[in-house]
Amino acid sequence: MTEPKVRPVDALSPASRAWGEIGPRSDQPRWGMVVDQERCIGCWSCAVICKSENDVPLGMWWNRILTEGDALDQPMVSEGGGLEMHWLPLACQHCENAPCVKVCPVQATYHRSDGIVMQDSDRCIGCRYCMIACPYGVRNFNWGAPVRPTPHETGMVTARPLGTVEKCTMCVQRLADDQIPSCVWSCPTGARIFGDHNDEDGRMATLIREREGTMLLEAAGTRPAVRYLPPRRRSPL
Amino acid sequence: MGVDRRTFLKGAAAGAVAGTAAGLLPVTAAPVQAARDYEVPGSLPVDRVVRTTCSPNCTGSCGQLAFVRDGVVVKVQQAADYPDAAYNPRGCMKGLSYVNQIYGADRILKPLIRTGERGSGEFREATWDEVLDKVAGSLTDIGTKYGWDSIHVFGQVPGSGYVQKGANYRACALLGMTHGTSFDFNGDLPMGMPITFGVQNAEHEAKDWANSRFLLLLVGSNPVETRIPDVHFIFDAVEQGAKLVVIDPSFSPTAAKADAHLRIRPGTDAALALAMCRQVLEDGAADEAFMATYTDAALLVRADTGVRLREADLVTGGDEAKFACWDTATGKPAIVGTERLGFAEGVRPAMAGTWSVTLADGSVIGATPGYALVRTELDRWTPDAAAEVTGLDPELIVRVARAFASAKPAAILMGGGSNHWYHGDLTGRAFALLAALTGNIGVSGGGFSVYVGQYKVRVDTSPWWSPGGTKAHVVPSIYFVRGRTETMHPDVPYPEQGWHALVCTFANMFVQAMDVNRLHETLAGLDLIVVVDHQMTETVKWADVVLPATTWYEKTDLTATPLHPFLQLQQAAIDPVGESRSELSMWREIVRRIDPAKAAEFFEMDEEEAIEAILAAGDVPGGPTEGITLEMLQAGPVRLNVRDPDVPFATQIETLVPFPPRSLPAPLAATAAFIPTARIEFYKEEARFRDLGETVPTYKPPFDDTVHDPKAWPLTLLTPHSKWRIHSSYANNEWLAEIHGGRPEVFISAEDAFARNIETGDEIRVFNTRGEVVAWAHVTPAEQQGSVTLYEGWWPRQFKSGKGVNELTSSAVNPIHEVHFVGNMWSPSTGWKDCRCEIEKAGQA
Repeated sequence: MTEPKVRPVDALSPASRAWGEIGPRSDQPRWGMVVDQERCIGCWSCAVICKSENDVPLGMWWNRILTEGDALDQPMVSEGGGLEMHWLPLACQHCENAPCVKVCPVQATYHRSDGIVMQDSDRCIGCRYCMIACPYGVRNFNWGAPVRPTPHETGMVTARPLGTVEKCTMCVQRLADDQIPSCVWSCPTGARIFGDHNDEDGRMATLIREREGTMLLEAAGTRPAVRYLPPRRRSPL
Repeated sequence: MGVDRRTFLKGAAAGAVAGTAAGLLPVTAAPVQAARDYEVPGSLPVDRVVRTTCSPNCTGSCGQLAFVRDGVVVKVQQAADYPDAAYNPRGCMKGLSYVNQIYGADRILKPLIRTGERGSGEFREATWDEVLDKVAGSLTDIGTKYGWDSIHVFGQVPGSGYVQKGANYRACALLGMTHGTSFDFNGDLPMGMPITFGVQNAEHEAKDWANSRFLLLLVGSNPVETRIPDVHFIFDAVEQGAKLVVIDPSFSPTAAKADAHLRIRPGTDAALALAMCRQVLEDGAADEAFMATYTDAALLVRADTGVRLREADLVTGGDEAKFACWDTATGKPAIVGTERLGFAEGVRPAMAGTWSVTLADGSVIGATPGYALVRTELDRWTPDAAAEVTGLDPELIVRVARAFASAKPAAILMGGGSNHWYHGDLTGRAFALLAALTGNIGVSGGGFSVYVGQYKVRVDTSPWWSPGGTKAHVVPSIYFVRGRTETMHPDVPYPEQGWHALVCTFANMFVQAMDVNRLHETLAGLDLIVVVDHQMTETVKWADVVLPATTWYEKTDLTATPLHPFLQLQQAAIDPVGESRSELSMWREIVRRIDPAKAAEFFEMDEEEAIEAILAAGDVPGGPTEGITLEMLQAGPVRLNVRDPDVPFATQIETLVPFPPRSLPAPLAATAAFIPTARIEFYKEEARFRDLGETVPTYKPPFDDTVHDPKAWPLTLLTPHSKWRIHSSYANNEWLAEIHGGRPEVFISAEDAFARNIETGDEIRVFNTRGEVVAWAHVTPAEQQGSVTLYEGWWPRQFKSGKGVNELTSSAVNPIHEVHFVGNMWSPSTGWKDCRCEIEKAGQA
């Protein structure tokens, strides 16, 4: 129980550590993510590892997967009469023009210079204006003490205090170690790509450009840092 | 397709977790705060990170990292350390949520002895000494009274742990107990493979899917849900232009990714395959050179007996193990041996016609190449005939057949959905024929692969499983469930005095076995039931003695899978939770108490010594573990000594060495007996194949139609594998339950629901003559009229009532599966999906 502690990144094998490295970036990164809806299979691996990494208690998800269909994993009848189903992973969009930041009366919600929208638990007074302002519904409120299936705390960060709002941080605790967010690490199909919007030749920016990445609720003018690559057209036999 | 506000909000409403989904608030552009760069805390420190392997029976075999803080696992995340980067990161949400299995409310922490009735779940805690003495004493009493073979030891597929599961085999071999089977019992053994290729199974490594350049045909396979670590290889192929065709009665999540979804009538896949084969022939697209060289197509079959013409028929003193073709160059039979594929120099084998052959005794008979007999059967599978059976559009059948035949290489991936039928062997044989006719066997990006179960023994386990060279007696566990059949193969060592005890390990058998009501009749006659598990399952509740097991984060083992060729260790990240112990250490203690001398000679080994013995046995030139050491495995995954990419039968195709390759751990001769021609066999001459009309690939209607008349039982009950569970494991995982809702739903078409006045959310009774459960209806366009889907693996406590869906499933044994006997290789494979039922609103009986 009294083993000397190490930073998790220092305990990784070279191969594992290399998998998580962020890679090339610009001088002034603006971090973001792109989600490939063709590759997304709705498995929730990204959501589950988020819950684990960030010690998100039962009843809350910082990251979840919507089914574009009739219900969880059930298709809808498309306009052409065929069946269709896609998945849409949804977490904080880290908007450049973030409604949550604007409405917070105590400046608990704020931007970092790398574009990440943060939540300062010490400042948060639990008014939940931000939850109303957010058009994506990705913020959670700690109504009570955290409930976990395990008898001990899990994850890599400390739990947030009762009466505060919490949400995706893009795993800032990992970025400091030059490691990609856990949802990106753990996506089994490579549907999530992390990168720097200011690195125009980077993989993320290239994918967004070439595959016409979209923003959720673009008309709202929130300018999210998270983008989506649309599903491919089916090719006839 | 863009995500506009309508679809986004529609999705939000349909998500499992309701978002606040506020209306659209136009936001002014000007920032109101300057950016701030407060220092944020880094990741909390840990004691250590341990690399191990996630090992449920899912075939993933995914490297995981256990992050340990203050002696407990606080996070599990993929190791993503495969030297072949295509395999990274490997792992799914189930493995990532494993902390809840290690520390959840159902974890068994102490040995237990039953105090109430069986099934009551009433136990008292006991010490290890007490339970070990009790188990050893009871086994000895039973062994002495009824014979040790009356003790059935059930374990699950060995690939997920050669050492701990191997300890079962070792103990059985030492004490004379009977070991059960798993691959066949699970219905996963694709009997079409031993029948056709003489192997237990043989599949392309998953990475090779990406090399299929034109068409991937997925038959009864749902990799989006059940092969989560590997499904990206299909997307890789699609990104390179491959077409993806999914054949599934339901609109599965995999169908959502397909270029074409063939919504086939359940259990009729063979008819589709036969029609595709016929179309290939009609279009002149068949690779006859392939058929002649590598298969039995040219070998002559006697018209009078239906068995193959042999050298011994033609020449006095000739060889029974040599066959003949009709040589059009000489106008007489030519002998075809089994030492090499192809034909002797100059022989030009006939592929059609009936030829007059003079036998050694002077009589004259007709003889026909097997290919002609196969073609005769195919002739009747016109697109219209297949459409009649399958419910598919005949033009679509033709289009798919032509697209498949023109694509090189083209892969067929078959899953449990097609295999889990009484006649699943016929389906396998028909698709194998399609692959062979198009020359897709043994080539990268092609092949006919059946992905079912982590059955594969990829290393030489004999030093551990067979102490002193003694092998355990193996009896298919289906004969434990239902007793012997009249057609059981005489080589099956069924215990003379029947079954008197069960040691159930690595399994939730009393829920997950088929036909569980019949199983419970067997259980009632047992003197002792011992269950080894780490979760308080329904099976555990029926035990007399419960031995608490460690999870794979608390023990050491050696694992491999059919899906990728990396050998990996399980390495303990933490001390055993509670008083749990590894299976090896349990057996060591039991054997010590029963036979101290044998224990001293054979069981005073630890896991690492067992692994070293296994590695050493295969560390021979060309051996599976050549050059692999324990130290290498401790550092990370090591590729076994196999081709890259690992493509089955490539050696046969490239070098003409005869079929079959060896299926470990059986000796080559055991499975070579399945295909006496040493070729791919599409004509089976054994008497039972002739008696049952299955000499060549054909189609037969679902077997349960003969038990439950479709007129009275109009619905097929499909019980596919769920993405939320590995069979019944993880059904009690609270994170996952938050996503899927935690209660069994029966998916029903609108037509069938309307006809029965059923709506989504209704409690409905699902029943047939074998049993019934009550669960909740979900009306969905994914389901077609005539079938309902209830994903298997829910626990009984999650149903409204019943012992689980396997009250309804069938334990019927197909006598074809009893023609030969090698446990888990040619052995009764069960038909879970071959099951009819009816549904009604609960309370309406």
